[in-house]
Amino acid sequence: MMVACAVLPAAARSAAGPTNPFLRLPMVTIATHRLVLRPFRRSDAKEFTRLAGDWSVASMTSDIPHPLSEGQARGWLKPGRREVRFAIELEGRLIGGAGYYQRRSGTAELGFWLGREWWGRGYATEATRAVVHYGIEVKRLPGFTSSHFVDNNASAGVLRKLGFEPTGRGRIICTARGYEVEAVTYWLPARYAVQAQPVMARAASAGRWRAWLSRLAGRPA
Amino acid sequence: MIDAIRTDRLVLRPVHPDDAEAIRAQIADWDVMRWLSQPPWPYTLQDAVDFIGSCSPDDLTTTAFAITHAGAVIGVIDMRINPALLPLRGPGPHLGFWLGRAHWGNGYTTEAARGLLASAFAAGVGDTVYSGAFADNAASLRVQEKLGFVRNTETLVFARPRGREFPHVNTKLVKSAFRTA
Repeated sequence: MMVACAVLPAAARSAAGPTNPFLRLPMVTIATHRLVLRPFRRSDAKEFTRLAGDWSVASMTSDIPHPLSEGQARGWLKPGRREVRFAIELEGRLIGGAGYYQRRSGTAELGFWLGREWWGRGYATEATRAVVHYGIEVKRLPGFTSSHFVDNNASAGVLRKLGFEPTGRGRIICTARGYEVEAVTYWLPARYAVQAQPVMARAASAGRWRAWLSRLAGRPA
Repeated sequence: MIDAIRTDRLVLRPVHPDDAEAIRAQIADWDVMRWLSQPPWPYTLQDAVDFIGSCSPDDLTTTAFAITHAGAVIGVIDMRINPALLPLRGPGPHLGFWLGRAHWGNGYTTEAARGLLASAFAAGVGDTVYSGAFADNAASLRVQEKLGFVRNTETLVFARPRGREFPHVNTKLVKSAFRTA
């Protein structure tokens, strides 16, 4: 259950918006209801190799090679310059990963995967919902895009539950398969992410959304 | 079995099945609940029974204590180790507490936490205790500051009553910085 992490050219300047005074310290972990999202560690390489070395996992991602060596795994675990990568942990065990690549324009491409034995229990939805929330509320990203290969219904279900809307189709390289595969592309503007949150969350975010809209329209907020 | 902890005004004793209604009556209050991460909402008597059932009274780090004042339960404090949250909070016990709204503003939480920490350090729980609060919970962070806790990291933490993640300040206290008065 995973989505292609499109590999895009690295870009310069951070587009992160103004920071909340409460959030001065680096925020690198997230506790969801059942999961902990934390940075990858070198010691994850072995379990990552086992989980992501599964063809049914790798073939649905853009950038996990197959077969996967532990050396390649160690390289994969290091996030690039504009990437945020969380390890998904359940009761102390690595079960997958979720994160995003931030474009120069500010929007981020969401990607995620889960080891096959952890599919079907809502973990991907729970983890990606937290990552999207982190991107929008903490990193002030204006929105997310994502994509999945056409033969990946599980990821389609996750993205729809999060409020993502299909925007079209494209061809994305699949490293494991070794050729470009047709993919469905999606987007989730911050406004929709806010609407997908429970009622309590809305009031606090409405002002920010209005500010972003005003920026888009070239007016002061 | 562990003994009760006595402070100037309070007695802390391990929670008991008979405390369920007293706990429900105090915690089933949105002004208390909105600051907490773990309890369900709405909160029923069965939730209090389940919570008490999750405690085992053999060890300081596996039980929760009823904070009692003049014999009445006014809140709960614990110092349990949650293995699932270790990557967030560090390898040690985690101090958590809540007090019924009617009892706020009297310094009871600080007094209870100080009593529990003193017992725990004396019992050899280790040199570090972790705690924290949602970032907008100034009252809780102030209690922790008075005890010698310092800000450690910040994370998003799922607040079960509120149904999503909120910014959370994680704090830690090293034994040498513990302020006993």
